[in-house]
Amino acid sequence: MNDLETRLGSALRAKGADAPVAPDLAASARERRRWQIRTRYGTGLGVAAAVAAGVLIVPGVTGGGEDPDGSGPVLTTEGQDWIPAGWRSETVGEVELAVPGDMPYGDMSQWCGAEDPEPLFWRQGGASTLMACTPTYTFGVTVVPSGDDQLGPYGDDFDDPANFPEGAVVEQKVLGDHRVIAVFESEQVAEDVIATAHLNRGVDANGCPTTEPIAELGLAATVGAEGGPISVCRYSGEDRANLLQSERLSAADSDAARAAIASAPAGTGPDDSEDQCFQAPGESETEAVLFRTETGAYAWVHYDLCRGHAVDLGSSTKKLTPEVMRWALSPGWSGGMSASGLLDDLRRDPNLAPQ
Amino acid sequence: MLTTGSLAKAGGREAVPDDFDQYVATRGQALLRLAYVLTGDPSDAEDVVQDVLARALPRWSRIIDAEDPDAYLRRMLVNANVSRWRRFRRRETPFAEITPDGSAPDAADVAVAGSENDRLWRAVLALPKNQRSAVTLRFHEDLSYAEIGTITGCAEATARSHVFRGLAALRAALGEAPTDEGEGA
Repeated sequence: MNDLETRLGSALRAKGADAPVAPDLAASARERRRWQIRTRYGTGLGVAAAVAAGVLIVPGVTGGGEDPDGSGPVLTTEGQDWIPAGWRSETVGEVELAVPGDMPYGDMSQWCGAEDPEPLFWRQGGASTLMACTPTYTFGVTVVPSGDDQLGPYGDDFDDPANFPEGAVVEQKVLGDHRVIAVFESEQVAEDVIATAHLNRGVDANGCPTTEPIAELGLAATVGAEGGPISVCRYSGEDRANLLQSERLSAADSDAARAAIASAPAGTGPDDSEDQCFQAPGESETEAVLFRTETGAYAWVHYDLCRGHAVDLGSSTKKLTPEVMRWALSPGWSGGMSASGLLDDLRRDPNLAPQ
Repeated sequence: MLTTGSLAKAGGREAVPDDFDQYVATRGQALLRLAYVLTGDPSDAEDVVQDVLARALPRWSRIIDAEDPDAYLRRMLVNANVSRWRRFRRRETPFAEITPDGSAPDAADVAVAGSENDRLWRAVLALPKNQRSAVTLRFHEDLSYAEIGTITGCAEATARSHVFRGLAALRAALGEAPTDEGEGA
């Protein structure tokens, strides 16, 4: 510990000792809690009435063919007629489902920070302010691990009606290691979302395998840029069912993505300077993006660590550019990365109103 | 370096009172100290702690059964402060301009600007929120980078980076030369 750190510790502790003394914190917290509940449900409603205000939790419905190992229905993805008209597909690990096409991405536990809360598709694991709202969750759809720990960021579970808005219909279905939760005012919409949810252990509707180990830089096996539309597949560093998000680009956007990669300078980087990078030797990426065409892997985009940024084309590498990152990170991505400037021009969620 | 100013981080599970009122009676003041160092304002500190405890109350049995209730509440507090910062950032002016001698431009603060502790604290308050949280958790709460990462919801390496960059920014703000020592190590 150097001199500044020592002085800093002393200074902060000294300042902490100047903190106000609040002898009635517990009583104040109880009063604040009562006030929060009254505020949420309106002054004319009591607590009991608010909790009992018609929140309906419905056991999951099942459909489609039975999964061979009994963990849930599996649909093939040869055709995509399982996606209702006007809806879009989403994949989280091996769980694939469809949601209304205009549903924006967002965090269902952060609804009270929005001016106009609306149903959200909540992709777990993204950056969050962890603002505690009451009730905890708003309307939307999410997919969470289905183990014993089914709690949200504040320990609220998804089985307690008090954690959802008045009048919410909550439909749930367990598929493999995950649980799909659909929360809508309309029971029909909630049921429809749940009915589309299925396990997919192959290639999803957007052309992304639901399991694909991240290829180490310099070791990617690729087949080139040709092959039709590009699928953008974001993977975690897990061993299996590691697809975090998928998207199939339009023909025009696919051409733009190819052009962005083609025009990127040869080499690797940009990386953080050594004095700004605390990447441990051998530290593995927590996520990377695969550009894939109908004929196979096209390019791996490594952006997660503060060193080793690159587009790996198999036989060569390109530097990361904002233009490449624009196509690599699909709307709904919520994370962080080093090398500032690469995220200056990401695509916006098309379902969000212009700012 | 476990300090009297911090929540006990290694006090053992048995040392944590199960009852909400008992817990607040024994740990509430430490939460308030952390909140005060983070917010820089006594009223804001009390407000944030009240809010965190109010939100913890209905789920207290789960929190107290968690592996580390203190860490859970720290996490709620740090994130509540970040949320507060976002909601009120338009009107917040947390010593954004630190002069080389550390004094803030607000005349009302001149009276308390003289000491070394004030200079450092003001500089910490001027840091970006992620760096401010990480530096405070590191040097006020004496937490490891892994613990800071858990509380702030980022990887250990990211927490280390926030602390390192915070220290570098502090040196720049205070007009101190960079060091070759293992800063943030």
